[in-house]
Amino acid sequence: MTRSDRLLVAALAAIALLSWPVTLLAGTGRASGVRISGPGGSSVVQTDQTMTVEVEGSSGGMRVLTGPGGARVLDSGCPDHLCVAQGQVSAPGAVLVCAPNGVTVTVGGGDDALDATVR
Amino acid sequence: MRSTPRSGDTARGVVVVGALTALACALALAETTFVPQLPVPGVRLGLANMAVLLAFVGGGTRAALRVSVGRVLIVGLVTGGLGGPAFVLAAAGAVAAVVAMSLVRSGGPAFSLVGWSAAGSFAHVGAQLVVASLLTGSPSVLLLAPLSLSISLVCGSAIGATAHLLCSRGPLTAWTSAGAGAGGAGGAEDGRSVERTA
Repeated sequence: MTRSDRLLVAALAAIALLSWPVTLLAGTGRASGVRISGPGGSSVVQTDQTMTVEVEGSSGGMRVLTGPGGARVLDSGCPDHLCVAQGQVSAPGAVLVCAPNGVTVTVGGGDDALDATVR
Repeated sequence: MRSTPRSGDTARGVVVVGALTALACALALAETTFVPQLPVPGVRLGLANMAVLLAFVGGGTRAALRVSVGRVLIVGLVTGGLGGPAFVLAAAGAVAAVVAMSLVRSGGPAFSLVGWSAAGSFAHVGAQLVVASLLTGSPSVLLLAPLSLSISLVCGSAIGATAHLLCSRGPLTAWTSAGAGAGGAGGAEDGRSVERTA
């Protein structure tokens, strides 16, 4: 590893870390709820009680468990099940992504303009 | 570009690119099968990138691009994902990585394979996050950027160091040097000088 390598890695690490405050800012101040966005549109699920939401993705169906503790993907029709492996997320702004399905699940995504609300 | 312009068109170039594409496919499939995936989307160890790095040393940017794109197409065919969202993500990441590695490589002998690989890995994950946010139509995917990009630097550096060892110590030295002419020999010499200074 040359000196230039170390400088390059340090500069790239700085870029990665500098994006942290930006993403934290983007993730704060949200109302309670979980936003689920997929090919069929976007919806916000209130998290005052635990429920299972069926989501239709590009690579098959998904079941997302939402509740006061956050959200997690129970099962999915995608090939790698990385979304299931991500486990439970609860912090505001935390996000579960299933790229093959084109679905994102964002905690605290409830205060922007709503397309639909699922209760 | 420091590579010889016609290196990818000679018989040796075709053989080297073919062999490295096969190696890249085998490493990618082995990684998918045997290495537990990190629970962060888009972030992998990137074993296949070792073959791309060897292609850079042995045949320059054109050979690396052929190996990388060939690997994405073949793995897409094998896994049945050709043309799907995962394929689009993989292709975007692969092309971005080769472009980034080529840019760093144009910086000359100041950068070793570790620097090339770290930059490639960073660009790979960055491009995948951008494309994933476009595919999902949701910018919230970018919330994963700090963690994913940081892990990519660690994985990229590790893969670069491994490729560096392969190039500077293994029987590949003669192979890659002969394949690239001055460029490959320069790369191998860089490796040895780094070992002395490290």
